Amino acid sequence: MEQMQTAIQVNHLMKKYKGFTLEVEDLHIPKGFSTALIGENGAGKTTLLNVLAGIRLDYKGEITFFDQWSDKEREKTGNPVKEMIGYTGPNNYYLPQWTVKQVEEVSKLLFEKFDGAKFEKYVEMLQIASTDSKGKNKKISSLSDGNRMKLMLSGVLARDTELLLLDEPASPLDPLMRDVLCDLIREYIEAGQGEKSVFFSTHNIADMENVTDYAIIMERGRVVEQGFVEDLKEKYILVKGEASDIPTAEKILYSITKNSYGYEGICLAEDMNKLAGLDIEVSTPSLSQISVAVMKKGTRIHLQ
Amino acid sequence: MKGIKCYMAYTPTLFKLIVLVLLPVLVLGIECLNVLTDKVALFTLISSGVVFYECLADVWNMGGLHSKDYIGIRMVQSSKRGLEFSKKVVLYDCLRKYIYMAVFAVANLLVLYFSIGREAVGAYAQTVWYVYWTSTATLMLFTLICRFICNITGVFVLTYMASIVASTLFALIVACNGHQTLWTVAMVVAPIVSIVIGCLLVLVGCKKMEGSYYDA
Repeated sequence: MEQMQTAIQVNHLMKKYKGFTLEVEDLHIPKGFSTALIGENGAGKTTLLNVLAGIRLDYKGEITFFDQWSDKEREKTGNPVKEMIGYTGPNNYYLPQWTVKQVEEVSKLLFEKFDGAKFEKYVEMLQIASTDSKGKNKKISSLSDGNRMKLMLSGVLARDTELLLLDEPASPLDPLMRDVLCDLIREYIEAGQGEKSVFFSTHNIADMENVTDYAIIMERGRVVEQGFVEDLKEKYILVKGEASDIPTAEKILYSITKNSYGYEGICLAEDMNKLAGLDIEVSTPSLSQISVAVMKKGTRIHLQ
Repeated sequence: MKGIKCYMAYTPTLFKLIVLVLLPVLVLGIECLNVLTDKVALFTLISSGVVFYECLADVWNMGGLHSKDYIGIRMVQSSKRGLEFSKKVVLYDCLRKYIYMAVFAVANLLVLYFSIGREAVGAYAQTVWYVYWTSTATLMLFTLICRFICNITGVFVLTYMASIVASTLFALIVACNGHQTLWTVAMVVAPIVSIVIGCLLVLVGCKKMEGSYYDA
């Protein structure tokens, strides 16, 4: 089998906080695809993205970028890795007193391949602010969370990058804009012709599913599942059945939701034969259903 | 030139308008308007005023930079040039403060030159020299301290203290009048102290920028 080309490969990554440890043994972000990072609050998604973007440097382990450069090399003068990565994050991304115009000026100074005209095109297209002097002098602090996210996206899309690391890009956006975000991600991937990749964290799995090729699910600082969405949909099967079969089914199913009429759950394909004899209805689960099932398995949240 | 570009891009527009243009123009206007016959007294008053507003305005631009909670600006950190950019901003802000204060000192001497004559400048130049270095030393010291504080009330108190300290240091030179040795020592020590504190301000700022990439 041909070895998968990776945008990022992580080995034995460890970062400790008080009461939390991010421990990623093995993680691959395939090149040329869109990868979703899924996990409950506090699973370590932002920490992982910060480490990959190089804005957190106190960790142990190895990271390889574009199958060429290590994380140590990334920090060396003249290394192109940081220039090839566009990162957006929800907190402290800009100074609140900056204006849209200043964001453009600072970006020009910070990033070699920043295209001012492209940035203005996105600012106008995404309706963040008008591109006249009044709109450009709009302060970051006066922008809504959604517009701030759109501005961050404009900033990274105006650069010539090979990988986008987007921390919760969909969360502050309205449903229409989430759809536009999916289009932007798809366009970015397609324009790269197999060379450009996107890695984003999300809680809005259903909205982002149509743009997700590969999924990584995290739980308590660890990667508990990863794979191409199509493969995951073969690995997990959605099962629905009668209430009378619940005692048998819950011993076999990977995760189960019960009510007075019956049950619905996710079953591992390899365990399907164990359900023989039960009156069940099977279908292909959505990524959202798979993710919830996997997260449910490991969660610390249990309703009494 | 790149450093100036970085500083100007980083600095908020209103800050540029008020602190970099309007207030200095006001200060120079006061100096030129001959509001006080004693030009040195005028310069000491102006200097303590500048120390006050510069300390206060620094919160606007770089408030909390040295504090434990400072976690950096993510966009800047994600860039290869981010650390260099941040360091340049810290350095050029410090240099800008020295240059602005020097402009006020030179303007004061020029007004003196045109209104009284060359001899008057000669006699007062040493005092202006001392006032320049003590005011910059005070400004650098209190800016250094204020950047550790995120609380605006705390910064206000420190800003008042800064102008009191500056005024006390100016008064000391009057006390030194007639003591040639003390006078000479003050003239030499003031610039050294000012430059050392200025360097410390830049160093601490740069260290904090580097430290913003680490949680520990």
